[in-house]
Amino acid sequence: MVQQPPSEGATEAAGETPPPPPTDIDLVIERFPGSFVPSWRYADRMPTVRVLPEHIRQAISWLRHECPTRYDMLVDVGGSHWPDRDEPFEVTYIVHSMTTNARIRVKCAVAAHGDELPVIPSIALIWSAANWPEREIYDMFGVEFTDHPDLRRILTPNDWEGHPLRKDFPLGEEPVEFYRTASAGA
Amino acid sequence: MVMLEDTRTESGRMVLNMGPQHPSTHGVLRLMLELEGENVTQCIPDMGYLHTGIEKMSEARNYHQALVLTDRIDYLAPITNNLSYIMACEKLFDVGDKVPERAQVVRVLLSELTRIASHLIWLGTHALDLGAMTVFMYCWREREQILDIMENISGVRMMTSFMRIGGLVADVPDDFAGLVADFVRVMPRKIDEYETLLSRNPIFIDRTRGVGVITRDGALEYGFSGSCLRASGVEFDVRVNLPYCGYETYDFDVAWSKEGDVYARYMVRMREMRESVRIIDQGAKRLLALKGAAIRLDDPRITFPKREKIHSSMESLIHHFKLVSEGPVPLPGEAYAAVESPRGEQATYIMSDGSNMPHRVRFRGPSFYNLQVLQHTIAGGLVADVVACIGSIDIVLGEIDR
Repeated sequence: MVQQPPSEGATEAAGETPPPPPTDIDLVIERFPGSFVPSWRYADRMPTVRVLPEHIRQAISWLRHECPTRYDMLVDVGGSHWPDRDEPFEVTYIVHSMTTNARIRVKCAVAAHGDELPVIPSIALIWSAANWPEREIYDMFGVEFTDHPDLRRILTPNDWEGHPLRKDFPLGEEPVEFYRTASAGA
Repeated sequence: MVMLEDTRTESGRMVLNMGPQHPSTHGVLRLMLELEGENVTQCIPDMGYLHTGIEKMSEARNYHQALVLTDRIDYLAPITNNLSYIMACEKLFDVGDKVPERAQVVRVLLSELTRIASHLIWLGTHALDLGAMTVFMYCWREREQILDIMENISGVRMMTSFMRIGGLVADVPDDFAGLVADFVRVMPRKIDEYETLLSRNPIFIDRTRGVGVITRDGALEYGFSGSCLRASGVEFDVRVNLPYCGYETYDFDVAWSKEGDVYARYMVRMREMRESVRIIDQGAKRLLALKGAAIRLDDPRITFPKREKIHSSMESLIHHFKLVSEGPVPLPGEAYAAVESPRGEQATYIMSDGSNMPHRVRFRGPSFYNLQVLQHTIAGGLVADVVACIGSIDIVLGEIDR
């Protein structure tokens, strides 16, 4: 239902059909070494690219200021925690272009070493809209954003222990009968 | 959380704590204001007082159960929350484009009714903050009419949870069309009435013109959406730019303005209410033409069997039990779905790992992004303008704190 420009190769392995002009995803991959299209089902058909953490700031800045399609609105910055993956902490940025109504999802994933918090460069200095969402991710997932102007907890109290949206944070509910546990389905 | 230190800082500035129980902060927002005389030199918002962990709770519910939580995010516009959540689920189950048309029309109708109800609360409280008591009473009167319609269809006035994955929980009752027609008939005149009280009122204009100005660039820098963004000169509306539920087939205009001040945001929302009435009118006509059509997708993976069949068929009973106890199970993947809520782009981002419960549910609350700009617009202004700014951004703390 969401209108998107044709995004061949955004969800499958890219490059089967020779003629189409490079999409913005291709340009990002070309420009920032180490970025790739994750092999994952994006049911909303939004073109998605994953970049290395050290490139995230340049990548977002490039999409906003230099990319042929100017992505001038930062729609969302959200975190997620996948304990089974090699890089369990994932931050997702969604940018929108006012001129073409195209959207791109940029992902960035990092691992935590020992008890230290995982670290991702902050984009709040180049895009103020990311300020509070990054604080929220810091609060909820314990991802540290370097060079963030004001990295404090935002929703939980200052003396709160732990990061509630991490999968190892207890829910504090009683177990319910007849539930399949995670990853047993489909 | 910000701590109050001295009430009087060394430079002779006063630190004033506003909220969290202040009526004009529209919920439990707390502002730390540093004042120099009557000028605000610094403002630090502090929230989280209404944090209920809805995102965490959704991870422990199946896809049907998490729906009732979404009503409570933005509690002034439950229908649009439902809709964005349901749309994300539908994308995840790959049925996004198979929802019956009658269900889509009812969804649009209810979304627009909710938009008007929410804007009425905004208008009433915003005017009340600025000293206009009458508007508040008038707005409540018309909002009551919308809540009656909600009660008529679902039995609940606010937290209806009327949507389901693949359609609606039930068809609308027969007198729904009449109630909507009544509303469409009276509402434009009522909006005129509010406008006669405010639009040319010199006190209201003095309090709002040129106050809390946010430029186009500022609006994009701070991730604005919804009426606030449109009042700053960006013609962006999810209903038009990324249409859903067949909004592209309705005839309506996007209200926008260039000024970016409190008055512009007021005017944009007033015009938006008129446009919503137009959409409701068109939707009600379509609903008549679609009388008796299906209101829910028939997909055994996600939709419940008919109640009559449960009583007569063993397979249906088992099917029902499986769907209630275990819930629908999507393929692993993720989906982002956005709708235009009364406050802006309200979106749900669901990630699934292939189990019966979502791995991660994120709710993108427009107020959360819109409020970020507040500390920058308030600083440099007067104390009295603080309430005007907060009111004009139209925040709902349930959505900011989630």
